[in-house]
Amino acid sequence: MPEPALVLDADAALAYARGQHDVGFVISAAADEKLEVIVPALCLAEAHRRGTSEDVPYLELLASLPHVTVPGIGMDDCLFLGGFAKTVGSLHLSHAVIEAARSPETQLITSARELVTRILPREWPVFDIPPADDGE
Amino acid sequence: MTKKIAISVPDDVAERLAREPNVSAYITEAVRRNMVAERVHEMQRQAGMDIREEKIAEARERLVKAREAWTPELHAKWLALFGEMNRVRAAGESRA
Repeated sequence: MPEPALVLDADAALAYARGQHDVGFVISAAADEKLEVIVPALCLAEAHRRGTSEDVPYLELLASLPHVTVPGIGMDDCLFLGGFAKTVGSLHLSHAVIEAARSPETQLITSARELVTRILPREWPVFDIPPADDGE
Repeated sequence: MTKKIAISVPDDVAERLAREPNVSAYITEAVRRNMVAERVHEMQRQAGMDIREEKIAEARERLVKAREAWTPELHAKWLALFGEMNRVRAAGESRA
């Protein structure tokens, strides 16, 4: 079973890139706490889609940090990816839910608590951040 | 390559190490984990990011507090979700 981790959704990745909402401090703290940080590939891709050229170096930095992993989607996950997306509204947020559900004690940084807890138990530890200010 | 070194540790650490079958591997793993954290801070500092220690300490407290949300009841709910996902995966594999 995977170790507990910290999962970032697309808005959290953008907040990191923009130095907003203390996400960078949480990423640093996770390293101190020996906690793996997971940026699901679809969340990182969505952050790049919505980000500006100024965000790119920081998104690349995030993905390159030694305690960060960027898992992709395997064949086994496609059923859940599509199925959960019907509930949470997007493939990238669905990917964040799948990665969060892989291990107990995993925490999630998201702007979409209400949506993700339609799949995850309502008491799931979530760090709330506002949606990224990018017009979406 | 490895290097043999002699170190002094407090009594409680020595007692813990006495229970390890491979003390060198245990210490190496612990130091490597600390090196990861140092590297993370260094990479962010070089990128010009804010790495104020007091803010990181606050964030550490948030992480620890969030971990406390994992009650036995939440573990049970996670296990039910995880089990259901594994059951569906297994059913998909048997159909293939």
